Amino acid sequence: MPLFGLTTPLLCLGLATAGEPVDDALAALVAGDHAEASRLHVAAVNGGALSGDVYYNLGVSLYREDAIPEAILAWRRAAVLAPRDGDILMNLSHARRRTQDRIEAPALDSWMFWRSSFSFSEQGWAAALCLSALGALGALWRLRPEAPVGIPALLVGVPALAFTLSTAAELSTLNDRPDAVVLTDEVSARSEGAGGVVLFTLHAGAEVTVRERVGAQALIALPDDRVGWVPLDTLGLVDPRLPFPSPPAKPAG
Amino acid sequence: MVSASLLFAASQALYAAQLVLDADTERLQVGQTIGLRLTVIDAALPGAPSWPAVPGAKIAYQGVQQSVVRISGKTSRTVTYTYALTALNEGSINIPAMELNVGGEAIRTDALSLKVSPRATGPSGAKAEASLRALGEPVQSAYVGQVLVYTMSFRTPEQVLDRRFTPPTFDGLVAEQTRDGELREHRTVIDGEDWSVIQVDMPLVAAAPGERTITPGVMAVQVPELGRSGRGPARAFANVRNEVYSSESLKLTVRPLPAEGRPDDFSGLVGEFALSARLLDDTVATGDSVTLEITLSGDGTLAGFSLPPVAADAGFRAYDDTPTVEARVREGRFTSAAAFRRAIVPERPGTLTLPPVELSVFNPRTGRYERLQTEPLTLNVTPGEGEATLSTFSQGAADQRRDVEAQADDIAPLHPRAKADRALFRPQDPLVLGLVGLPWLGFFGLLARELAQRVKPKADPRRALSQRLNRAEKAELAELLDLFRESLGLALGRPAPALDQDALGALPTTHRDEAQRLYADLEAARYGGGADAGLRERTLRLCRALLELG
Repeated sequence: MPLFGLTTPLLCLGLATAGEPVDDALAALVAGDHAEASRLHVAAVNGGALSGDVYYNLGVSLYREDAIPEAILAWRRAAVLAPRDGDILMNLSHARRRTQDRIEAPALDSWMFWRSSFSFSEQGWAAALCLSALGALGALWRLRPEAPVGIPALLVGVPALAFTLSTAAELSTLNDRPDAVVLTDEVSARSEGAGGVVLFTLHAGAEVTVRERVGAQALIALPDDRVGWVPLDTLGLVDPRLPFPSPPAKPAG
Repeated sequence: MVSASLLFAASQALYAAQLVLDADTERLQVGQTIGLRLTVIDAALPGAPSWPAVPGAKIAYQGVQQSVVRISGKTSRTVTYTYALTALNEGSINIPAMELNVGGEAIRTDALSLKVSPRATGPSGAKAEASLRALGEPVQSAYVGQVLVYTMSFRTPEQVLDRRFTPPTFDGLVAEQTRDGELREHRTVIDGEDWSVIQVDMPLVAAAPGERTITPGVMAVQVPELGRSGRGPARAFANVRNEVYSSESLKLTVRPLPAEGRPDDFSGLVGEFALSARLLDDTVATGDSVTLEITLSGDGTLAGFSLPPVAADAGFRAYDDTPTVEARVREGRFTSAAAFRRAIVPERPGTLTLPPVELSVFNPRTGRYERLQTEPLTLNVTPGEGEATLSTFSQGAADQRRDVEAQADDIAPLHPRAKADRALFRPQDPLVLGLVGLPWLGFFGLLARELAQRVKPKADPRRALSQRLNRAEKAELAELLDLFRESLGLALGRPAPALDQDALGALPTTHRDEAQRLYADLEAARYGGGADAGLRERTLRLCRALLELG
């Protein structure tokens, strides 16, 4: 009972670790059993083990299995969780060279320049802490009007505003306009969902942005602003919270 | 003439693309600049064609013009590229036929020949001369690596208002890296007459062996036109005249450095050099440093040169500073000097003899390799604090390690410490809500409490009086008086302190008499007249009645 009483809050706070599946997956990867490593890693992330390292190692095992689009998806998700990890960016560069469509990622033009340096969680927690500190300073000010809280409030308030805005922007991106990776060998982007004219064709590993989702179709956009509808199940969304698609079965022999 | 030839060409080109080359005139004089046009009819070129080198002429692109010509009912589009051609030498300028590939079809111009006569106008005696010099003397041959100075001298008896120098094409020569060229202007007196002199010196390094031709250098000058405006103060308002002068082309034979006698430690320096060295101090403690200053000077380039390293078992350590290289060019003579500062750190006390610095250079004047050497220098080394910690270079084997070679290109390795972190941030998590919400709840709670304290309840006098009446069952005379006055005040709508007996006349008749009696009784009781037993009840009853009047 006491153990249950401790575990439950930890699970509620999201502080529990997944533990074993990740270790097994890592052991399989070290042993060279990439298929098993991929399977275990997918099980781990789908079980809630959301970590940049876990997604990164999933990408490594998928890459070794020659599942390039899935590896790109795993590394893109890893980059959301650990944007400062140079290995992820380097491996993405490697994997992209093995795709067919040359799609240049547009430069980050957001005025919120810090978005590329902090993960979504880091920005969220920073916003929460700064807002909490700002509220505490406000309460202190009401309790002791003579207390010098002006400069501390400014020092906390500016980052609070910045991180709150960027967290909201990140959340909006993840929920409404996530990036995606084409997972099928080839997909045609059409003008009107399933029945429209084929506007362009994308191949496995192409990275796009999803602008709308209607039923089983998604309106995708390329960096050069070309848009088209594709079946949603041909895409893997770059949202670490979503279940990772099962890696393709390796042909026997 | 031009328009006619173009029209003729266009009429011939009704059905095919054509190139037409023509010039303003076919006769010109030295220094004269004329227009040269290349017209493309019914075809498109990706850009202005560039001309090959034409002996005796300088050709510079100026611009492009497009037009549409309608001949015999057919429209032809013409694109005309205009060039400025300047005659440099007397004789003839032969512009070869130019062939261009237009849309897969080869079309070509006719060759063009221009006659150049001697300069007919302009100041007598104005002249441009060029030469390649080494050590200030004109040369026609040089060794690879030798520094030569291209010198062009222009002089004119007129005042030069503006000048522009166009350097020649230096075939087989490259610019010396430590010194840019110089252009100087001065005035001199020749035979009692003032002359303007413009001198250009450009240091160059012979880069490749072979027979080389240096094309003419061109000096375009602007001089005042004195014919119409005269001399003296009127000169300020004089018109100007443009003159173009060119030097003759130069021949140069560049020879390779001889293989015979070439030492193994040849430094690569070519020129006449002098080497010297001096110690800034003759005594130093073990472990401390003393500066050895080495100076290398000569007429060759020192760009990129560094001193030979010190032997590992020399008994001292040496640390080289970045050398300072200074070069100058004047009157066709190039000189350069490099100052090297080497920190010497002796490893053991005693007398340290610094070995001479030796350099092997090639002297183009003698055509032989020479060895330069400084004098040996002696240094008195006293014991120092750091002596015990120093080790010599001679201890242990030389470092024979090599860089690790990359054998393949692959993705970055796996992350061995991968652990599942906390869940992705969720704004609706209780922890987040509590973390952010509680302080703000406290803040707003405190704020609300303060606001509540600031708001004073607005008292209803009628209600307050009613409550006082309810509590006045045992009220004393003073309280009864106060209640009576307050009740009268409310009933009459006037402040209680301002009421007197006359004011009671304003009361309704139903209460007026009773009020006047009570007033008199209360006043009497107040002044010691005694109070009857029913005074309290009468007062309270009347007060309640007055209160109900509203």
